[in-house]
Amino acid sequence: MTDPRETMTPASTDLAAAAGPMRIELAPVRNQWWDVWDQFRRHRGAMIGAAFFIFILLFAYVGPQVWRVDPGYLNIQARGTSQMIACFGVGGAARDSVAAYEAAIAAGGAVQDNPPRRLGVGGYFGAMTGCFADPEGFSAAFEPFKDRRIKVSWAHPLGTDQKGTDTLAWLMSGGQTSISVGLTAMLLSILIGTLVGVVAGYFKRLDGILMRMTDLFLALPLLPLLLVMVMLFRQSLSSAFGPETGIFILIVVAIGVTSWMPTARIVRGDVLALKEHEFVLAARSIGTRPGRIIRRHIIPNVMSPIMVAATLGIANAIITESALSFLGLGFPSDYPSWGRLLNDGVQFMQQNPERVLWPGLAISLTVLSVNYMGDGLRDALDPRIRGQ
Amino acid sequence: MKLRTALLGATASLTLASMAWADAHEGERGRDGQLSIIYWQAPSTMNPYLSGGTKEIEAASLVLESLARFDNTGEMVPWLAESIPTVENGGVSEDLMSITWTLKEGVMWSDGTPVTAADAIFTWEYCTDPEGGCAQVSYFDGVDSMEAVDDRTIRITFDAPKPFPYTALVGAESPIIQAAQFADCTGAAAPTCVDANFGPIGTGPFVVSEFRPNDVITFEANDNFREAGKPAFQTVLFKGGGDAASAARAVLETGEFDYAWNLQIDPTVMADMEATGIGTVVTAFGTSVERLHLNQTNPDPALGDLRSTVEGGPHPFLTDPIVGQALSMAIDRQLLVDIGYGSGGQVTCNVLPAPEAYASTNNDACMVQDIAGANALLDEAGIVDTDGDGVREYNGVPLRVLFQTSTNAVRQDAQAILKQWWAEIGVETELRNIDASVFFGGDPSSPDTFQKFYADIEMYTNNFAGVDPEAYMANWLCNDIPGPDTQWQGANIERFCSEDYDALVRQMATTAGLEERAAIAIQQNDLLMQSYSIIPLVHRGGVSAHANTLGGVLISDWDTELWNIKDWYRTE
Amino acid sequence: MLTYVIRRLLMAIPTLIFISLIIFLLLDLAPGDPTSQLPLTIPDEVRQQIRESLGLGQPVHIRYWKWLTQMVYYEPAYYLSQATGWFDPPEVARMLSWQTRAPVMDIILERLPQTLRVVGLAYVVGVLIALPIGIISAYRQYSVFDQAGTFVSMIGYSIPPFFSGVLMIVIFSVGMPRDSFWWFPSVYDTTLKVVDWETFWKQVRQMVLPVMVLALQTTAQISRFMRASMLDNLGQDYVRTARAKGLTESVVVMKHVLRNSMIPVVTVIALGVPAIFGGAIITEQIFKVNGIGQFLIISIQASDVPSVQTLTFIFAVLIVLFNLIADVLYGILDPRIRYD
Repeated sequence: MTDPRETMTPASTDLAAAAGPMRIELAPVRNQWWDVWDQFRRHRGAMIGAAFFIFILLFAYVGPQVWRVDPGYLNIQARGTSQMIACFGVGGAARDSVAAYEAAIAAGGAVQDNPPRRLGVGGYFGAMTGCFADPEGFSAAFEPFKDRRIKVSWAHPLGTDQKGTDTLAWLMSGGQTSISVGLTAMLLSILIGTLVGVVAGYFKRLDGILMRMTDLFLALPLLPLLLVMVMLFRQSLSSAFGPETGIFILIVVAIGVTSWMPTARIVRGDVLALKEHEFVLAARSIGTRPGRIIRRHIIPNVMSPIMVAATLGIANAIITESALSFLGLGFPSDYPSWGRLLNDGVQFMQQNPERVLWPGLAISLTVLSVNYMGDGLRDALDPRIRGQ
Repeated sequence: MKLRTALLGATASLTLASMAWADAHEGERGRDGQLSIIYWQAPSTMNPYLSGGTKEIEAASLVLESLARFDNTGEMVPWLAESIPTVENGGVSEDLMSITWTLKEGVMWSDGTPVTAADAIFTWEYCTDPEGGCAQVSYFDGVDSMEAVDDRTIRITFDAPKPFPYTALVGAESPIIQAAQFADCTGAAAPTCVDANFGPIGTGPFVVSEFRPNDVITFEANDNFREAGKPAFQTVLFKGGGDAASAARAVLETGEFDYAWNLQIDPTVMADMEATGIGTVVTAFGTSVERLHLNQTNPDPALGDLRSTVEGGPHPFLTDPIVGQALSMAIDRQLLVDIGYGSGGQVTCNVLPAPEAYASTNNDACMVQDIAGANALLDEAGIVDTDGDGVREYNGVPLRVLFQTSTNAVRQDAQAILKQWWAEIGVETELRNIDASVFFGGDPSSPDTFQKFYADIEMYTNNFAGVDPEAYMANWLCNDIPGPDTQWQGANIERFCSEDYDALVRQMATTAGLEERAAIAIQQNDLLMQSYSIIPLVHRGGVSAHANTLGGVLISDWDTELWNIKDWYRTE
Repeated sequence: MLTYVIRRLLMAIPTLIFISLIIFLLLDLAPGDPTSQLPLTIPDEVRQQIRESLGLGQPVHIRYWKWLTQMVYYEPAYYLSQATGWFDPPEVARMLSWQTRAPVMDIILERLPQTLRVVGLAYVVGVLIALPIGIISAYRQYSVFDQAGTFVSMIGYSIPPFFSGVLMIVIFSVGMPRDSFWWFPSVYDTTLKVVDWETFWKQVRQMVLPVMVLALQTTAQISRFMRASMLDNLGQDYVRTARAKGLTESVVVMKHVLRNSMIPVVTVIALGVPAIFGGAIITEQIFKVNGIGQFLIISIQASDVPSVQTLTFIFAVLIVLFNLIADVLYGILDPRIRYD
């Protein structure tokens, strides 16, 4: 009878084991993680995802070294500034309004190539260049036209919010918050979920109690639970770790302990089926201990739903964090995060669409990149696909 | 002893004006079809005595009415009563111990039965029943007895001279309910009468036809309404739910609704919505003031149970008016208005900004921001930064404050802006925002209530109902300071205490002349302002929006916004 | 299997009582107060009287016992007597919500139709779209369809409804002219009664936007799980065997692979069904559907303990029930799973 483990272990390690210790110096054994990495590298989506994720990390953590605007500083005079891209819309602003048109010409030195009230192509480009070259002067010229107002400035390339915080700086430091909350809360929730799910699925005696506990957590109303957590633990956590780390821990734990239940139920369902499969029965029949069966046979086979839960979990954590600060249970109001930025921007969707566009893109693309990385990792970890 | 009528006596000039205006749109009752109103906070009951929330009072005012209401200028208008009783016309006794109201002739309940003095007396008994938990019981404070002189005449006797006797059965908060309908609903049985609470029989222009709690109310015009040709609308759809921005959108941008209430949204967004041209934004100012309270006691967590109590000792630096004055000078109030309130706010330097007769002008210096002046003031007082960390020290204690408020977008913006200004005068601020249901909840076991004030500074809005500030100005009595022994109840939130102030409160309680009362109120206000324990920021108004096709809207912050809904009409 | 179901149902009773006790204690511990939404002009003594009239002065265990007896005995007895008339309704006062002072169960029943209509329909639509997307995506892994499906569903999932809902309103309610076919109402009319084709059409139109927003989330989530699970199974030996036997591709995929891939998907779908009854808090708020979700959130904000307690209890019952159904379905999908 063959060892059922062999079907699950990568061929390379078996070869190395068969070769014996003597040949190790001659042909160094390739660690199986190198194979995983090789496979991962061949997955195009995963590589693009990883590259983008690194870009986002650099943007959030190295960006503030380059763009040295303090996210906490309010440039109150510049409040409500639009992003520089708004300059492209200048043609629309100058259309059909003689005065605005003349202002565009005056400010941008636009070529008047089409009789009255039309900027024409040349004029449009002239006005646009003028807007990019001297945004402040251009904004001043447009100040009197209420509904056609353009307010731009290179000092705030992505604009500012209603009180004058720089959007680019917020996007960067908000990224730090959102990524760290998203990743840690997701890891915590996946960890709890997998643990509970595997244990419940594998050990029949614990199934009942663990699943009833899952039911309990599913039924708990989130908001009062969070209120109670904040009430009980905020003071002690902030005195132990300082106010910001204290709240970080509180938020991560709050999101983690309220979002592990679906993972647990999914994993348990899969484990219930898996443990009746032949290779598990075989492993058990030769007296493999449960811990080893779970590590070698069960976990690798429930990786793909876990991966999906993990990618969805990041999105969930980022958005839940914003909902929490919206409800006054999260970070203080002057603490940036993408979710907050998006939440605050929704009111201004029509006026300053970039206020929802950039944080929305940042969240979506981060989630997307993590998803592709997860896909690649799943393929790379699957010995059946690897090496094909 | 003479009661002036400038404020209290009801001259009907304004009502006449509004009636004349409505005259142009007379016609049959119900001629204008449906009126759609959206209140994004939905009413949960139609009985204002059981709820006390503003949204319930507003909705109930379509059906239930009182003897007199306040119009949009804060003047009293006789409503179910024939006229406003005063000392001059003999309606108020010379010794201020009783007031006599006379009902208009022929006022009917919507079921066709006449309204009598017995209904008014029943209302008083209903609300003052100790088991009922009536939310408006303070309107009946000091009422010793009520008697029916005849079917249309009610005499209210007080247990002490009452300089301002227009509280019981006046204003939207204490309307008259029908004795016949609520007879079995007194005391502990009050909440069990669901049908009556959801569909009270009233005297108002509309009758409830369906009530879905926290969702939608539909009304029909009252066939027995006392004024011919009113209301102009046959039905009212009173929808709830959503948020302020979406309610504003439904009136100003999509035109799905005719009237939206309580629209505290970003002023620039509001202006853009209004520019669509479908609706108009209207505001009304009452007495609401967004203010900062500076904790006069020490909130240091190290004090344990003595935090923020008088026993815990005074605050290390906020009791010094110089610090408070500097904090106040660093604020550009106009900018706070521009960013957060727009037309719904005005700069104010007083905690008592209205009615006009009571408003002080002695503190107007605060209107202009003066950061340099604030810095100079602190330097002069020797409050300087001794260790070079950018934060000043007061007798060795750094000026670091924890600044808390309830969660609300406008307040969080204001917090961030104030933090920046205060940083410029060497004060470091930590911000905290707390869910409103906790902050205003008064749960003694929570550390985050505004009464407990476990922070150095907090911000919220307070006001008083009606037009008389006596009770409101009595908030700052020494013995009204919240503490553990009173389960943290008490209105003196910032723990201000002054012998002189207490004396003024006592004097107010025995003064009847309007001018003298105004003078005392101004003195009280100035005493508070000069202590810098309370820093007023913005005089807030109610902001609502109505469709341009809706006429007759006279928004009032002294009564409900819908106080004159009987006069509303469709313009086209 | 039958004994297992009966045993689980019996086990559910102590479980639910335990859950309700935990929820009750949690709500009791939570800060907040039923008078917190009243204007500050109402003095503290009056607030205290209001609290007492709500029964807040009594000790916790008495309040819990009162709630429990009302929930499991008096309320069902009341509805039974109303429906059948066999006996008089119980003499005990009904369970009242603190903010409305009306029977909680009546409010829930009043609101259930709109929640089921909007949230339930969105769920059905979402699942029906998600399953084929997931299957095709997996079968044609890394095809254009799969890439597009992944992209759209992940974007859809990471855009929260407070954003997508407002975006829908801005595009369809504000941006479109009122008489256009593409104009949809931003406010859900709960008083609308479907009596003829015209009102039916109106009802359909007012459901379009909220259903779209909600279905996007469901679709994204379930299609991801479907795809991942299918992928796992497509590589298995039994698929090769089935193909080698000469079975057609559609039989292989739809019968063998799909059936074996359904376990995680069934779990996710079963987890989502109780959530339908829980309503959709944000989407209901944005479109003013005012169903169960909106009732729950305003009850929480108003610290309306009887309402929150009852809603979460019903929610717990449904969770226990649907998780049981999922467990039974596991056994049907994969006969190797045995519970005895």
